[in-house]
Amino acid sequence: MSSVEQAGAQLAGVVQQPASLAAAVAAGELWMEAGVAERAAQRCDQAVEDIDQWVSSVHRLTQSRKFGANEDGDEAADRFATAAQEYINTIRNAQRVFANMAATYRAAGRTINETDSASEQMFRSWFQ
Amino acid sequence: MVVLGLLASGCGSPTSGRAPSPAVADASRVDMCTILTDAELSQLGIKLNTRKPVDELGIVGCQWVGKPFTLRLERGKETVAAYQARRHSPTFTSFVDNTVNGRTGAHLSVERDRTDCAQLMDGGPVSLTVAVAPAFSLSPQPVDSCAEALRIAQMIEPRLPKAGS
Repeated sequence: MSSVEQAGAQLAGVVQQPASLAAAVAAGELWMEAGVAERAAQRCDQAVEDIDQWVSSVHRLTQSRKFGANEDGDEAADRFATAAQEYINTIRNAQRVFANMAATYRAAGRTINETDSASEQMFRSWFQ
Repeated sequence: MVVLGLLASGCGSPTSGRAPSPAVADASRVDMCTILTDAELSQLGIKLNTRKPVDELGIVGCQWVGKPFTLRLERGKETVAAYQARRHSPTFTSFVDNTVNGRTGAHLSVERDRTDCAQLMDGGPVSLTVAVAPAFSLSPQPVDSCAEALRIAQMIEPRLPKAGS
C-alpha cells in the first residue's frame, strides 16, 4: 500500500466523525450560534473549493508531457498517472469530510435559530 | 517572427504521403484567461472569484471552480499532433479525435472513471485546452464533461486567429 493510499485509509476513519457530530445535532445535543455556525461552514466550503482547484491542477499535470518522448519517459508518466489517481482519491475523501462538516455546522446553526424563533414566539404570545 | 511563422505555415510544401492539415493560424499569443467574458463564465456557472492563473510545464492559462463543474482554459506548447502521437499512453483513460467547428481537435480523460474531459484544439505550434470536471458536491448533478468542454470550445473557436487573417 502506498503512502498516499495509507493516508486515504486514515481519512476514511475521519469521515465517520462528522457523521457522529451530525447525530449529536439531530439529537439536540450540539448547537451553535447561527453566525458562528455559518462562518465555520464557510471555512469548510472554502476547503472543498480549494480541493477542487488541486484536482484541476493534478489533471493538468497528468495530461502534460513531463518526462520526455521515450520509453523511460512513458514509464515515468504511467507511474505518475497512477500516483495522481491515488492522490485524487485521497483528497476527495478529505473533501467529503469538509463538505459533511459544513452541512453539520449549518444544521447546528439552524437548531439554535429554530429554538430562538420558537422562544420568541412563546414570549410574544405571553405578553400580547 | 509572427509574420515569418505565418509565411512558413502558409507556404510550406505538404509532407509527401500525408494529406496536408488545414492551415491554422498561430494561436501562441491567445490569452485563454480572457477569451471568455465574465458574463459568459458566469452563465456557465463559474465563480469568477475562484480564478487561478497557471503557468507551468509550458502550459499557460487559468482555472476556475463553479457549479456544477470546474473549468480550465489553457494554451500549451504541446501540439494536438503531439498529443495524438501518444494517444495510447496509459496516462490517458480515453482519447478520441474530433473537430471543433471544423478545427482539428481531440478530447481526453485522465481519471479512471473518465468523469474529467479535456478538449484540445489545434492552434498551430500550440494546443488550446478547454477542460471540464465535475465540481465536488454531496448531491452531485450529472455532468457530461466532454459535451460541456466541446460546447465551450465551440464558443471559443471563432475567436481564435484564422489562417490568412
